[in-house]
Formats: sequence, C-alpha cells, structure tokens
Amino acid sequence: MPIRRAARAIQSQASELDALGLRVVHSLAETAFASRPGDLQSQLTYMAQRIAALPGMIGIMVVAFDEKGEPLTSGSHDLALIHPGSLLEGLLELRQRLGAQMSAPSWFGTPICRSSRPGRTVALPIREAGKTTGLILAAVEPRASRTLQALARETSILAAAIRWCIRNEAWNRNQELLRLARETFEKEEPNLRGLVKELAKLFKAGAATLFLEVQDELWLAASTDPRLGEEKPVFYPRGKGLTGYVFKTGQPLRLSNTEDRVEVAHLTGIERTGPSHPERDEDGLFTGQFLGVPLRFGGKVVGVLRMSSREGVARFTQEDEKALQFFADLLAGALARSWELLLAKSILDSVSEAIAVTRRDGEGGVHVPRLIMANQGAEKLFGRNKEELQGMDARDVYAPGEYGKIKEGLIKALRDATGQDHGEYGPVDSRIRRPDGSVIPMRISFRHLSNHLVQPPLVFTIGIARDTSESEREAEEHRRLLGLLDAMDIAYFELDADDRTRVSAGAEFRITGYSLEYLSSQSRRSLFVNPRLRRRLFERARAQKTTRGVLQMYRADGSTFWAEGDLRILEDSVGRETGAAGFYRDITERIRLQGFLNEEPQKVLSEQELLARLKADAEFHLDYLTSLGHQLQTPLSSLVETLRGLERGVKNTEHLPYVIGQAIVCSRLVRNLSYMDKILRGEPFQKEKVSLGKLAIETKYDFLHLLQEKKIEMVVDQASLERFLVVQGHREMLRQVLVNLTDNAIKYSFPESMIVIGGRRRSDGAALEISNTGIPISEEEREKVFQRGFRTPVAQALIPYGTGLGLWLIRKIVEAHGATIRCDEVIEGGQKRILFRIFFPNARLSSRRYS
Amino acid sequence: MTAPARVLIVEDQVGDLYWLLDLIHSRGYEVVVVTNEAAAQERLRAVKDGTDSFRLAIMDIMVAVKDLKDLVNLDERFFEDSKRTGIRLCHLARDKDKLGLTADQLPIVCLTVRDDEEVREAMKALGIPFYNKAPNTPSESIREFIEDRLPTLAG
Repeated sequence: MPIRRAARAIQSQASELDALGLRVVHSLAETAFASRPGDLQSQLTYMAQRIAALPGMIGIMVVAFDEKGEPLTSGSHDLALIHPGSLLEGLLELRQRLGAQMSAPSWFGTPICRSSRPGRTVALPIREAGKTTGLILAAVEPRASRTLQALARETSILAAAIRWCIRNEAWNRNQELLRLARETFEKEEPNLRGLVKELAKLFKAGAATLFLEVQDELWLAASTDPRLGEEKPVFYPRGKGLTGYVFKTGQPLRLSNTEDRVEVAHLTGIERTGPSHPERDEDGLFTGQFLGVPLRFGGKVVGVLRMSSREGVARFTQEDEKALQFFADLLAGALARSWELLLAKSILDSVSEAIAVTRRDGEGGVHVPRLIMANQGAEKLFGRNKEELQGMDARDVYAPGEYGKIKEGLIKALRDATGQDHGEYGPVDSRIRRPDGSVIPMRISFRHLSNHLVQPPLVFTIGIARDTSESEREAEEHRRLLGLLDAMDIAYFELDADDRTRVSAGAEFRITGYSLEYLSSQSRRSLFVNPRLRRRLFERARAQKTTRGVLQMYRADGSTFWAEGDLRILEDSVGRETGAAGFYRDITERIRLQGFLNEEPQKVLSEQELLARLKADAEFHLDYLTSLGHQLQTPLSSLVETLRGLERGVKNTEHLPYVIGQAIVCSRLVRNLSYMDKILRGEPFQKEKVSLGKLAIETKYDFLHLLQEKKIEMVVDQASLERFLVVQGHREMLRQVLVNLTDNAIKYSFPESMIVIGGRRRSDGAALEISNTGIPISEEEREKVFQRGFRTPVAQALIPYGTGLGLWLIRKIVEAHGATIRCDEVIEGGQKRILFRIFFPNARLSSRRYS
Repeated sequence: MTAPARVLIVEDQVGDLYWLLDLIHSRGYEVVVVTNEAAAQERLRAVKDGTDSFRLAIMDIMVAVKDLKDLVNLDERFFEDSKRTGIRLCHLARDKDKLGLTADQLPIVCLTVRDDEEVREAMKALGIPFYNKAPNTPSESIREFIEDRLPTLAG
C-alpha cells in the first residue's frame, strides 16, 4: 500500500520526535493519504476523529477555509459551535467572532464551542503563507497541554491535511464528473435535464440550472428546480443579476450567500435591492450559496451553468469551481452544434434577404411569436431598426389582414416542426406595413426550428423574406408591355423545350384565334405552313442567339397569314436550351400591299421601306392622274373644237372618223382605270371563251387611222391565232392587252414599218406574239418595261406624257389569266424586231374544249 | 404683203388637232407641221436667216426631242427635257444671245396641256401668250386668238 509506505517513511523520519508528536503526525498522515469516499464534511470529520483520539482530547472541530480565508465547512467529533443559527451561519460568523485572534500563533481559549463533556475549549488557527486555511477547535482535559503543544508545532501538517480533505472530495467528485461527461457527450443530443440533476447531486447543490445563450439573452435550458420555467420562460439579459453577470464577464462567480449585499457588491459591483432580483424570490429560492460558471465556446460565452444552495458548505469551493468550469466548457463544446444556426448571425447579416427569427412566447397561455433576431435585410424591409424589432410581436409587422392569410400554413408547419426537427412553409406572397404606413409586398419562406434542449421546447421561426415591390413593378411593367403589344397588334410567345407554348400574349389570340390552352397542348410546329423553314429559323437563332424572319402560319380557322417577327433561344444559367421566345406581327396585308407596289413578293420589305414605297406610289398616282389628264385632254379638246367648227359651219368632215376614233380611245383609257383597279385588288372576275384572233382584228380596225397616218402596216395572222389561242378569260381585259400592245407598237415603230401579230403553238401551250420595228429596248430594259411607271429614256424623249403603266397593266392582266409575258429582240430578214410574247400554258386544252 | 401666208405648228400629236388645221386652212393660210424639237429648231434658224417666215408659230410645250429614227441613238442627257421642249424652243427664238427673234419677226403662241407654274412663269418672262388645249370656256380657246391674229385671206 503506497499510503502505508509513506506513513512509515514519515514515522522513521520523525524518529527524533517524541512519541506524542509521532502519534500526532501519524494521525494527520492517515487523514491526508487515506483515500476515502465522501464529501468535504466527511473528510474533515474523519480528521477531527483522528485528532480527538489523541491524549487529553474531548471534542474536536476542524474548519476548512477557502483560498480567500473564508470558512467553508467543518467536520467535528463531539464539538459544536455555540450559535443560535445553523452550523453554516455559525461558521460564516466565525471570523468576526474570533476577530484578531484568527492571527494568533498558537492555541487560545475561546467560548464559542462546547463539547458533551465539560472541558476547556481552545482554538488553533491554521495559517499557511500568511493566510488562514483552517481552524482547529478543541475541548480538552487539563492534561492535554502536551498534545496541544505537539499539534501547535505541526500546523503546516494540519494545513496540508485540510487541503487534502478538500482535494479528496474534489477527486471523488471528479471521478463522477468524468463518468457523467462520458455519458453526456457520447450521446448525439445530451439529455440536459438528466445532466443538471446529476450535477446537482455531485455538487450537493440544492439546484443546478443550465442557461443557454439565444440572441444575447440567457435562456433556461434545464433546471433541477421544478418551479423554474413553469409560469414563463426565464431569461437573463446580459449583465442582469448574478447569472447575467457571469454571462457578461465570462468569469465564474462564487458566493456564500446571495443575500449578502456587501459580499455581492464587493465581488460584482451589483447593488442588490430586494426580492425583485432574478436570483431570488419571496421563497428565498435563490438565496444562499451560489456558483455560476460560464459555458465558453469559440471565445464567446454561450451559456451559464449555475449551482445554488450547497449543502453543508458555506460556499462552493475553488475545487468545485474549477471542476464545474471544466465541465461547463466541455458542455459548451458539445452543445455548440445545437445553436450553430443562430450563431451564424454574421452570415445572415451578409445576405440581402431579410431574415427574422421569432420565438413563441407564452403570455397568459397565448403563444406570441416575438421577434428575437433580425438581420440588416430585415431592418431594411420592415423599416425598423434592430432595437425596435427586438421583442416585437411578429404579427404586427404585417399589413392588416395579411397575417391571417398565412396563419394556417404557419400553424401546419409548426405542427410538423414539433414532430420533427423542422417544418417549412412558403414561399408565400404577403405584405408588410412599415411604421411610415407604406405597404410593401414581399415573398417570404418560413422554417420552424424546435429546440428540444429546452423544456418546454422552444420553437423558433425563421422567416426569410424578399421585397417584391421591384418584381411587382416589373410584373406591372410586363403587363403594360403586353397590353402595349396587344394594342400594337404584336403577338408574344414563349415555348418550353418541348416546343409547347408556355406563354401566349399580346395580340396572339387576336391574330391566330388560338387559345393558350390549345397552344400548350401541342407542338407549335403544327402552326406553320412550312415547318422546314421554321426549323431553319431556329437554326439561325441558335447560331446568332436571336434572329428575324417571315413565316407563313395557320390561323385557327384554317386560313393562313404571314408572320414577321423575331425568335430568341432561351437558355438556363449553364447554357442549356430551355425553349424559345419571340414577337411577331401579322404582315399579310403588308405583303399584299407590297404585291401592288413591286413584283418581288419573296422579299418582305421593312415597314420603313414599305412606307417609302407607298409614298412613292402615292406620288406616282398623282403623276399618273396628271399624265392621264394630259392624254385625255388633247383628243377631248379636239372633239370639242371639231364640234365647234361644225357649229360655225366648217364643212370639212374629212377628219371626223379620226376624231371619233380618238374619242373611243379616250373612253378606253378611262375604262383602263377600272380594270386596273379590279386587278390590283385581286378580285375574281368572270371568264368566258375569248378568241384572241378576233380581238386582234378588232384592235387593228380601232387603230386604222393611226396606222394609216404613220404608214404602218399591221399584219394579223388570224388563222394561227384562231387555232391556238382561244382562251378562257375576260374579253375586255384581254382586249386591253392587245390595245395597249398595238398602241405601243404604233407609237414606237418606224414609219412605213410592219407590226405582226400571230399565234404560235408550243409543246406546253400556246403563245401570242406581236412584233414591230422601231426604237430598241436594251436587254436590261426588257424586264423593266413591265415595271410600273418605268419608261425607257428613248420613250420618254419621244412621248413626253406617257404613263409607264401600259405594259405593267398588260402583265397584271396576263398573270391574272395564268399566262406570262416577256419581251425579246429577234432578228428577221436582217432586221431587229421587238417581240412581245404572251404564253398561255393551257391554251390548247382550252381551245379544244371551246372551239 | 409679200411674205408667204404660212403658219408653223410644232406639235407631235397633230392628229389630235385636225380642227386647228381645218381652221387655219379655212382662213387661207398654209400650214407647216413639225413634230419634234430638232425639226422646229431648224425652222426657227431659217426664220433668223431670212430663208423662211411665218405669220404665226403655234408651239406645243411638250413635243418629242427628235425624230423617231434619230432617237435610236439619242444621248441620255436630253431625256429629262422632253416635257419642256416648247419652252426651250421659245427661248431659242426670243433670247438675245440666241436667235433673238422679235414678236414682229415671228409671233409665237403656245398651246399645251401643261398649265403649271413653270410654264406660266416661262411664258410670262418671254411675253408669249399660251393656251390650254382644254379650255375652261370657249372664250379661253386658242381658236379666238387665231381668228384674231390670222385674218381670212382672200382667195
């Protein structure tokens, strides 16, 4: 046994001492080195028993003092303090009662204690390094002087023995703490109620309570005192009360009596004022010994572990404090996980979303969600600073009636949260009202967190909100834009990756007649007359992100229209194609209009181009009218003056047939106008069987006077015309073709030349040909002569008032009959001739049918 | 009067104006018709040279620039001007730096379908009367002017 060996060693070393002295040392050695279970009181009692066994001793009391020289507790054998109060109260008054005697170097007589048997009572202060660490009180027989002397000689051994008593107790308890720490921290979630119970037992405390920090307040996590937290959650703000003091300073606090204002003020600077103090109530619940240690983690106090009402000891010992502090720090580390989320405040402050945490308080049985935390985003959104938000009823931040709308969802999520760790709700759209009265739309998500560490469980609700006024404004803008698009007859659509219409807006319904319901039920491809062209448009859009194009689409009623618009490929953040979007407008009218203006329907003019052409067209029409007027004026005035001449008796009637012929030409010119109008409008017209041969002869006779005037011969090959060119068509329009062609041929033919008109059979139909010799038409001009308003420079020099409409109108009429016309130069008999050839693809069929 | 009783008509649509020919013929005058600017220029130069003379020249403002046969190789810069050939001819006749023919040497009257600012201004500056081919009232017809200027010749 190591202790026996140590004792023997001391015994031999003390061989020079007298026998009594040896016995004293032996007794104390046994006190010091024997490992005994039990608390400090029982340790000290054992020591008292050993001393009392020495010669002349009746009763002994050993009082242990703490490091500050204040009495802690005592162990005794047949000796008690003479004091009206409890032993602890007696001990606390001991120093005052003994006064300066506490510094006495040796035994002194004192009346403060008594034994069961009569005897002298004496006291011996035990001092070490100038500090009182203990006090031996003794009731002795008269013969005890030698024993007293021997004890007085060995005060340092007495001090060591008392120290050992304290350590022994701590050692014993530390073994238990070690076991408790293992049990506690091996578990995923520590059982805090069980923990404080064990701690109270180990520290012989009347109550052990654990507080955890939540948003700068200490919240009751667990307590052995059943009365705590029954009525309302108990919490201490930083610095409030003794527990708050520990929280604030991060230093342990040990008090012998929390009612001792002098001691409290001395240690903490806190002026204690009465029973309203959180550490006590009318029942004196928290009066008495106090030991509070901070739970420290990550350089910050995250809780306070508090012991009160130590049994049998005037105050908790320094060993208690050290042990509890060590344990508290372990506990802080173990619990850190549990409030990690709330500790992440600095992170929350850095995000732009408004984040607010509410806690449900019970107020008279009603649970009130109180705001306990708000980040900067929440301050901004709610229009209040942190101080205002702190403790505010969360329902009050909502605009009137808004909370009611989300209440049900919140409560459901809350029920989820009590079953599991969390319950979620949202995002939902709601509105808050700022103190200035403004109402701000927001989108908010909720997450309930229940804290099972706390009894009853605390539920925190974290709300993450975003000011949606911007997006509402955007939505409003969007609505306005769509309204504008609608007003401007522009359709807007969005497609998903499966080519299904997701958004159909603007004028789309008006243009197409398709509802979104219909559009979203099928691939949009089916709307297009030529899906291949559409695919090409998509390919172009993919290559260039966005592209413009013109496509022909079906309306709901089966008719088609031309859509001109843009197409944009939609992509997600990683560049995957998620669909497409685009605008378009119905340009069918524009294309038709354009058809009136030029001859190239393949190319779609831009609106500006079209307007420019329309303007040019309007100007052209004015020119045309002027020109037409000129053409009409001369023959009409000629008619008038001829009639006036007749009236005045001019007898010469030689020219009358010519004048009459001119009048007929005038009426034809006027009729031209109405045909032109009909054809330009694309109106259907009545068709009949028309013999172009017959028309050619009639035309020749109409122009006989002019032909004679210019000495031009007109040859009509009636046989070939009759044979090949009996067509279905509009007689008067076709006559107009022949009249205009003949008129041109006469105007631009050399005098004494020949105009030839005839039919020619071809494998795929038949052609009417009219040729003349006259001013040439260059190769570049041969296509242009059919353009509206075009006149060759030579024609302009020759005939100043031509309209440039004749050939254009001819082509329109010809095309309306499914035929084509072209201009060529041919050489016949060494002469260049201008040849106009009208090709009727089905003329032979027609002729067979009708002739 | 030894000068031949002749009237010059510059008009390429003379077929439309048979009544005018009939009128002048009926008053005992001969008519010389030219149908383009080039031919008219030659007649005016002849008047200047004294090799030709006319009691009156009736000019259409718009006539062909040249004869059809000559137009085949026409220079393009003339083309725009076929609408004002008559104005050019009047300037040629009257302008001092050109032929400088006085109204006594050659009275001129213009006949046109053009009744626009350009024609009115030009005729006013030149002091040449002009008539519209389609008069609003009979009194505005060139017929009255001709009957006034060309007295009926005996025989």
